[in-house]
Amino acid sequence: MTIRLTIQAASFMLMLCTTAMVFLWVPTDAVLGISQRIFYLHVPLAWVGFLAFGIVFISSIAFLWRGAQRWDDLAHASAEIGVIFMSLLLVTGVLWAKASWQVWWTWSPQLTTSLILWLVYIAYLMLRSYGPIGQQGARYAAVLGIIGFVDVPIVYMAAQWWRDVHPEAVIGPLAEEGSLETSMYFTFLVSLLSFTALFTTLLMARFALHSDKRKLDHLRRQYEP
Amino acid sequence: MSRKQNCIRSLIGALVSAPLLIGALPKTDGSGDNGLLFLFLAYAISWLVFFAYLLSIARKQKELSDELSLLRLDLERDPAYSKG
Repeated sequence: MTIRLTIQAASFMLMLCTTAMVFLWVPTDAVLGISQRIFYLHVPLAWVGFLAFGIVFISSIAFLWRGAQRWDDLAHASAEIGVIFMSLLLVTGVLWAKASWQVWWTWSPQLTTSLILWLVYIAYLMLRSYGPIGQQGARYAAVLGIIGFVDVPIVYMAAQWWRDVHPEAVIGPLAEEGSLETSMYFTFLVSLLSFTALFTTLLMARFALHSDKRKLDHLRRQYEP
Repeated sequence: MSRKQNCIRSLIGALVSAPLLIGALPKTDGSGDNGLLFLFLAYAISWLVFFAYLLSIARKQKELSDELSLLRLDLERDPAYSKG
């Protein structure tokens, strides 16, 4: 409980800090103007979305290997939160595209592969809701969770492989050195940290919910033979 | 009206009103004041979604905890269960 509260408090403080830095401290981009500040929201959403699907991938493998229910719960919780982050990534991307390129959407490889990734995990959640219940449904979902993750490196590499209107990575291993000004880079790192803390908070809460639901089902089975 | 029906109604409302909202947005480039509008929309939508999701988790958690304690109480009161 103490760890949970600490992460929640850190997440809240970091979010306040990020908001202040984005709106009051970081300089406005000379080319893209004020709408470039969407970057500090858009890119962390993508990174945390990838992290969420990475957790789904690892937990699904662990579930298929060990069969422990907690791995399935973790994968389910992470997929749900990952879909929220990916949905917001698409929404903020659409808004930024309109502001920068004057179009809401373009079938650029990075946008298209991101949309595919989103659809794959929407399918994952639909399978969890409407597919077979119990161990069989969990196994199907685990397989989809593993296969779906293949799209994550494709999304990341898309701008590098197929050069088009979407800018190349300005952070991470593919970025050129000095492609982002120091203050912008620092703001981005704080934003990334705060969204990771928010993700951790949400994941812990959702995982606890799954755990409680399982306890309740167990008690119900005891009570209604 | 059930919660599910309310959700469906809200979704239909959002889908119907989205083109109207998009039509109301400026048609010029994203610099200056228009860029500010898009920036505001991006942050406002994200925070609203996160806030709504957190609230929904908190509500579900409370419902589950209440049900769990009620069921535990019932089990403790049940003589058949007490005898093992």
